[in-house]
Amino acid sequence: MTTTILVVDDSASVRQQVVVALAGAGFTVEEAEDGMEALEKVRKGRYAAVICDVNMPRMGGLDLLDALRREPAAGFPPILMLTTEGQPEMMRRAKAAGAKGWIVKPFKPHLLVSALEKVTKPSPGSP
Amino acid sequence: MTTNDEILSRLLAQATTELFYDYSFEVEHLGRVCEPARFPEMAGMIGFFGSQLTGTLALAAGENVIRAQAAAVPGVVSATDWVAELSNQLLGRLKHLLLRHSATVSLGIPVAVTGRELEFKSKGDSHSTCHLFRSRCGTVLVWMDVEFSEGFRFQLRPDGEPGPRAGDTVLF
Repeated sequence: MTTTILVVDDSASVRQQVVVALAGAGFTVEEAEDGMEALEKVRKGRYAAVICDVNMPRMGGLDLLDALRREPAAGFPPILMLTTEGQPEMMRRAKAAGAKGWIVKPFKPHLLVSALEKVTKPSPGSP
Repeated sequence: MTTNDEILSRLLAQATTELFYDYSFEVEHLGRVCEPARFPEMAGMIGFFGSQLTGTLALAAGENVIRAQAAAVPGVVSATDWVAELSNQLLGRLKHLLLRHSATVSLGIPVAVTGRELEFKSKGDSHSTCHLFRSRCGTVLVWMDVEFSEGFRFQLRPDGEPGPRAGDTVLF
């Protein structure tokens, strides 16, 4: 199973915090600065999950979700939103677009790992 | 009657105190000031907009304060990147509190500003508010410039749906 996670955030510090948090949990982490770069990476790579901010330059996290839905060939890895936002409307939009969860910054490392383990666990019957 | 300005000031002080507390870097709210005794050298700034209020928020401090706060956060790559992210997280918290007061804003993208003595000025017909906080390493200043839509007043909605708080994880 792929254990590479893509973290998408315009803050290098937040990306690095995720790298540090996941380092001991057996995940390899790649980084993207915004939704546009993430879209390119998802098209080319295979990720066990994506951890994605909402408000970013060029392409935000909700637009990334929409873009991935329009491109089935790119695949649709499990996506966790990691953001300062907690607006219910936004969460509903993310859920409807296929996101698997929503984490409000600042995140607790053990909860991030636990959420990732849940969303990357193969579903019963999957190959 | 509590004015919009008073409510916003209270929420801003609460959001700031809670933000730093969550990073184990406690700050004490010293109050609202016209201008600080000493101007900061580093700030994170972020704009926001909505049908009820529009404006800009700045979180500013000496570089030593930002570095000291960041030292307890594994992964911070630079003080400038981090102060921008702190302003983003502060506005996110404030947005959460505003949702309970019938106001919704959209957040912009934060930037970092550095200089010798940073001063923040209102652009004219807007309300600006400046709060000082004391930390163990020096003062933190939070400044906000806000323009309210005509006739808008904050209204507490205790039954509102505020959504998850900072640190919460929700799986769908």
